[in-house]
Parts: sequence; C-alpha cells; structure tokens
Amino acid sequence: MSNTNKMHFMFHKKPKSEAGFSKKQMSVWMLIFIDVLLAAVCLGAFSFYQIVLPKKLSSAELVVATTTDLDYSNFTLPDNNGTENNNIISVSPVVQTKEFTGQAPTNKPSGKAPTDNPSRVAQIGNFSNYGNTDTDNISANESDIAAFSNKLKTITEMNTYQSDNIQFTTNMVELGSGNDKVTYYISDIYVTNVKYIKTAFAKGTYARNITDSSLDMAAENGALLTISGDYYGNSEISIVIRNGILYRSTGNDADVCILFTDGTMKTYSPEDFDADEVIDEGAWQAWTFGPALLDGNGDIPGSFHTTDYLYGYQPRSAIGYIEQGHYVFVIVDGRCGGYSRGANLNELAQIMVDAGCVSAYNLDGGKSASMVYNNEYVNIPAQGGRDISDIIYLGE
Amino acid sequence: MKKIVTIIPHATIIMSIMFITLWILDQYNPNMNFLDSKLSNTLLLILFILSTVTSIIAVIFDRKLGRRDETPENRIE
Repeated sequence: MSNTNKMHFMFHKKPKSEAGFSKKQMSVWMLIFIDVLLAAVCLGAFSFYQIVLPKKLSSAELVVATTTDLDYSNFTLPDNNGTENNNIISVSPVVQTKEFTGQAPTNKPSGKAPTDNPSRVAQIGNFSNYGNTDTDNISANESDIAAFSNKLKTITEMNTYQSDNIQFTTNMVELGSGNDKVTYYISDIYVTNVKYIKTAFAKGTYARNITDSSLDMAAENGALLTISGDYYGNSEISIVIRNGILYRSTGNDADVCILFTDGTMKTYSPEDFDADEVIDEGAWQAWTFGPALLDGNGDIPGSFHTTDYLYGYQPRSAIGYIEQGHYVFVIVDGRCGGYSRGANLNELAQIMVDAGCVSAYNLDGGKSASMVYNNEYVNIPAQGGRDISDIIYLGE
Repeated sequence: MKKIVTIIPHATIIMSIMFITLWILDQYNPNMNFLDSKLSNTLLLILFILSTVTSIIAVIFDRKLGRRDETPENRIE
C-alpha cells in the first residue's frame, strides 16, 4: 500500500481507487468534534451527580466524646470590666479606632496565656530556611506579611454578647484603600465549655450535596454567632466529627483541625494525623479543609499545604485558638474592589497572629464565607454567597 | 463486533477528555474532590479498560496493515 493510501485508510476513508464504490463517511474532524461534545455532556452528568444530586451518607454515628458541666473542661469567662481588647488590636503597628464602644475583657481565663505582643510580629521576619519544596506547599511570603501588617487599621464594633457561659465581641476591621482595601470581621470568643462551640449540618442531615444558607441554619439551631464550616459534603473521604459524634474517620491529603473536649485546638498535617489517636484524646469537632495557618506555637509556618489558586486573594473563613476557652472566628470579605479584595493565606495567618492565636485553621472560603449574628449577615458574602453543607456556631 | 471495535476508541477519547478536564479542575481546587470520589475511581477503571482494548485494536490494525503492505500488489518497488 502506498503511503498516501495508508493515510486514507487511517482516516476512515477507502483508498482512492475504491472511493467510487464506498459509502460517503463522516470526516474525522467531525467525529472528533462529536466526541468532544459527548465528553462535555458526560462532564455535565458527572458534575450533576457529584455536586448537585443529594445523597444521604451512611454512618454509624458513634459518640466519641462528651462534655459535662462537672468535668475538667470548664473555663471561666474573663472579667468584663476591662477597657481594652488585647487580642484584637494590641499588635497592630498603627491602629485607628473609628468606633470602638464595647468593653473588652482584660483578665484571661486560666491556662496557657496568649502571647499577643509585638515580639511575635518580629519573629515572622525569619524566613531564611523556608522553601517551596513541592507544588502542594506554597511558601509563606515575608514581604506580603510585612506589607499587610503595616497597614493602618480601622476597627468598628459590630456586635457583642455576654451570658454566664458565652461572651463574644465582633469587630469589623478595615485596612488599605482603593482596590487594595481589605475588610474582615473578627469575633473574640470566650466560652466556659467547648460544648458551646457547636456545629450543624444543612437540614440536620449528614449527606452529600444537601446544602442550606448559613442564615437558615443559624435560625434553625438557635445560633448566637455563626460562621461557615468546612463544606464536608464536598468529599467522601475526610474525617467528620461533629459535637462529639464520629460520622467518618477516613483521612485525605488535606490538613485537619481538631477541637478537643479539654478546650484545646490542634491542627495536623495529613502525615501526622491519626484518627484513632485524636478520638482517644477526646475530639469534639473535626474539620477538613485547611491549610493550617499557624504552627501551634503562634508562628506562621514556612509553607502552606495548598495550591496556588487557593493561596491567592479570596474571601476567607477561619477559626483560631488562643487558649482553652478562648477562640476567634474570622471572616474576610473579598472579590469586591473598593470594599475588600480578599486575603491570601499569608495575610489571613497574619490576622490570626495579630489576634494572639497559637493555632488557626482555614475553613471553606470564597462564596461560602459568611458570618451570621441575630439572623442577619455580619459580613457581605461574595457574589451573594452560596448554600453550604455545615456551620460552626455558638449556642447555649 | 465491528461496531464495538468502532465505538471503543471514541469512548476512550470521551473518557480521556473528561479526565483531562477533571485533572485541570483538581489542580485549581483539590477540595472539590473531582479525582478522589468513588465515581471518578470507577470511571478511571473504565478508562483503563477502554485504553487497553483500544491499544489492542490499534496493535491488531497495525499488524494487518503490515501484512497488507507485504502482499505483492501493495509492495512499493
């Protein structure tokens, strides 16, 4: 067979000598075009099954941790007669308080004291050994952190609440200007027991693709203050422990955050994480999204276990741990030039450092990032927000 | 049999395009779990089988073409 005829054979055409006797066939490019169209249809079906179709997940729902009023895990709320809120504003180089009328606690609960002082900011300067060793580890950027940290902050109190068991103050912090402006909301939270830090599933169901707005979920659960959770419903292979109940214990390749019944909160890399171990230690809540923002000692790690896309300027949701009984919720708004461009992971980590956190964890951000108080959004969710599969909330 | 032989390479193309797209999406946002789900694992197995069969068909075709080339009327002098 000649080379020309061979080519014709490969492209579904008979050799020229037989062409007059064969049926007219579709061109190869048309066939490939149809294949691409079919692939698009299949992707649509895949996405529908994966993202839209609700699927109730089976779970043994084992109770792995309980909290009681009489056990070791009780903390005292701070004295409310103080005049400054150390955990939010003290480490900022320049702070301009526009409206700050709330009374913030001064006496910290017993336990490990937060190291909310300027020396921590200085520690961030040492990045000489940091490196991007693989594509899943994005290096922390010293100049990003320094630039963000030096910006003038304007703080406005948004809400405050105090009862015998829960105390919190939420502030709106604005920094920068123009398209570089960042607006975030930070709640400084004290609880007498971790049982007041609760989580809830959309429509009360452990499932994939069952979602609801954080407003509705907050109302259904009588939440005092709510932030978006880790969107566990996106995955089939992440650890899910909620309010002491184990729904699944499979790990994936993301960092994990555990809130223990003794009030401590720790983050784990996928390599260090052992589900049985954390369950034995009394895991009250387990979230899988990440990455971990701090190293457990209040310092920003050398690199974040994430991707380039997730590292960039985005709306953010995060939880931070200062000491037993003392936490912060942070929501950074984004994708809205002139109001807030969002924060990258360096900047979010710096916010947590400024708040005095020793451990902090990035939760589901983007359109999911929302904070609800008194049945209203505290922040302005990006592009109107989206329905999500779970929330973290404070409830009596 | 002939129809199956015709359809399988197209199914392989379709599945390959799907997985290229899912891989790209996964690079942007691994938390969406496009490549880690049970469904994508099953589809991946199907792609492996289809690829194997397509490769076998290609090898058989190549052998047939080779034999044709060796017949006296098709030999290039």
